[in-house]
Amino acid sequence: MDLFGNLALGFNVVFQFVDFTIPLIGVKIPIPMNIVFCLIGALVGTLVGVLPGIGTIATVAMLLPITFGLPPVGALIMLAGIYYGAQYGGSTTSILVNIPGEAGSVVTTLDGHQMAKQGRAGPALAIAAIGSFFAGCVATVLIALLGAPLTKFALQFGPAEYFSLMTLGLVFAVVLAKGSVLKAIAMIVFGLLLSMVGSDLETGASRMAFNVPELADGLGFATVAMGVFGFAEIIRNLDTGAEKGRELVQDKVTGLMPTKADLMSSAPAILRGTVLGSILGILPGGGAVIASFAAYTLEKKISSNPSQFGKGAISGVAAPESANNAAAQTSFIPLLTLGIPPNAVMALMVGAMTIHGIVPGPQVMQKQPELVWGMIASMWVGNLMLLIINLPLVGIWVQLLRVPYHLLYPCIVIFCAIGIYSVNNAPTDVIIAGAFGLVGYWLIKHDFEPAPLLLGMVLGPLMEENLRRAMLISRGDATVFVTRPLSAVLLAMAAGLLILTLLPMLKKKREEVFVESEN
Amino acid sequence: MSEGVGGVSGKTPVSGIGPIKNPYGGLAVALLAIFPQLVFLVFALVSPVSFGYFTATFSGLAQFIIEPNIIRIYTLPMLVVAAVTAFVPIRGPQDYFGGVALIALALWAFYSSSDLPGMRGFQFGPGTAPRLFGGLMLVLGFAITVTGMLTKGAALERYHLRGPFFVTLSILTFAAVIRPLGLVITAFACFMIAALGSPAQRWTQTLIVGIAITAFCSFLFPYVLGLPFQMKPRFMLQ
Repeated sequence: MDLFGNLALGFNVVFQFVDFTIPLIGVKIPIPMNIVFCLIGALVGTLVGVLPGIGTIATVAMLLPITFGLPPVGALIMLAGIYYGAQYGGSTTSILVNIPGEAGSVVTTLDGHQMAKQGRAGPALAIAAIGSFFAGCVATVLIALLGAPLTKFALQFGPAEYFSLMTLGLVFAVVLAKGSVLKAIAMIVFGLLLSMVGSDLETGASRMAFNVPELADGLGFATVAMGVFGFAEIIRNLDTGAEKGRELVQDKVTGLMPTKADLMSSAPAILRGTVLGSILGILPGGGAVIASFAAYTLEKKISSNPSQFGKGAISGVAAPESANNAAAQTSFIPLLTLGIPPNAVMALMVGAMTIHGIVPGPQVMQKQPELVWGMIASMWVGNLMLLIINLPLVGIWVQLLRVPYHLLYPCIVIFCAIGIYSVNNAPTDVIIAGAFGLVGYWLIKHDFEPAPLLLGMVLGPLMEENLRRAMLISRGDATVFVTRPLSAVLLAMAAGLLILTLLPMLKKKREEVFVESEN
Repeated sequence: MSEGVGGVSGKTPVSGIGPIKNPYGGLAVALLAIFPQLVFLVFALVSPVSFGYFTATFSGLAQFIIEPNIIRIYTLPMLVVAAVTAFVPIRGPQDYFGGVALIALALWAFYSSSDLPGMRGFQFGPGTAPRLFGGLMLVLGFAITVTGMLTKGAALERYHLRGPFFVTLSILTFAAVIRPLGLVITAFACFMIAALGSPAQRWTQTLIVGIAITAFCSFLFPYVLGLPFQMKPRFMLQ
């Protein structure tokens, strides 16, 4: 069967031995290079997941320049490892310290930390890791299964369909964003506007660059991401004082093994979390964060005694942890098959691929199967590694939490600065990132969510290109978007979703206005 | 960008007596309206001593301040918004000032794409998409502003100065000295400057970590990762 052939190819790539010259000594030894990259990714991901105050997006942005010198497969394997590794690591801090190390494990704090307080930190950690592992395995198979058919489907897409699909993606990003819908749309448009800076795609005319030579190529989105997610996050943490409330309960971690009753009650939760997470991961605009929230809500709704939730229910740990890991992995599906990043981390993966001269899209799977399948196979290997990294070694990661934030953040600032600088060896990029750090700080203060901004920024040029192409092919006939059936369906879905979201909001706001005017 | 201005309005949920309801809010938006001119003024003052990035001169400055397009498209409309801000009741300051900044952004997009050709027949010009998105942004900014005016919402959050100042200073220092002074000195200096941003430092400890991280960076980036970094200051190389 095709699937097994593809997976075999993938595992071949992962277990390939490459001669590696040890620096300074000069001895060549064969090592499985891609496994090493996978391990590094998983380790860095866990580290990032454990440490509060530095997120996945900033880390991937920081490591982008480092992947310059690596082979493309290795680079992508490593970056993917960071994303799903962070989902594992995030649960550790959530459970033990009540501080989510990663946005995707915010809900895990609710029940996980309660369990830890009751002296059941071990089972909570174990269930989180087992759930994540199970979800990771399922998601890997899902990617392998869906990859090829979706790619065939995607090859029938013309510019009009691509434009409509991206519109749908942006609408999903709006619908799934938390907080005000208007503000989420505004952030996407902000991102689209930022993506306009630089040179025009067709004529090469300089757009909104003010004759600044460094802007002629446009704003690099790794630079913007680092500013908005890296620097802004640091500044924000300095405000609130990220150090308070770090009481470890690690001395209570005794037996790791969950009891049979624990396993019995969490198995269905893991299953449900995996399914929900896989679906939300594939949807554009989704991702690990939303998946974990949705899974927790679902568990609470269908539970026979919802009052247990928030007081240490094990399914309240199992479901969101499985969901975030499943979503982190299935969000690769739209990227690998359609070339469209469904969330901000995937947007950075596009950047990583572009650095290596790979244009994401359906062609990648056909022209460079070893790249795609190698990455998919590496995810399974990575999940296995993470299980080992996280469970027996949990004590080491907890020790890391003792590093106080006031020593940690200057290190992050320097790493970020060096990372941005080394992309182009341009000091201006560092200044731009700093400016976007302040912009990001301002956005946080005004309750704007920065993730849709990055998505808009990445999709902007793609959307414009396809829009212009579609209009050119149809000789200026804008109805092409609704007369082509596939495109029409996609647009109709987008419009329907947007209306469904906006209607209740308008009603609520109107009521608020009336209440106000009555007073 | 407008982040500094938002900071000014940070302490102003003041509803004064008399017709002028938000004197400080109006003032802040007025500052935002002349922000490009202010930035240009600062650049012009700095340029004689700057590192050669900014070549603005005083004659250029005079031209820029009275540039008809920028005044017509950006400054005047923003001054109108500022005047409105001073007189309207604001129920949700967080939304209101957020929306105003988006309006400013949209107008700025209109200005900066005003020199680009638009549609040619059925073909898009370079200016079409920026204006399209700018228009969308204007509508959204307006909607958010009105929301902030009509519905009760969150107050402005407090802006802190110490953290943002020193982190930004550290980043700017990095950009300024990485070329002339090389990686080792830059990394250490930036670490210490960034560390000033937190009141919790114990300086011997910080110094040790700073030295360690400098050593780590000087090993990791050039040697392990093979990135082309200049280690020593330029004057030591000659």
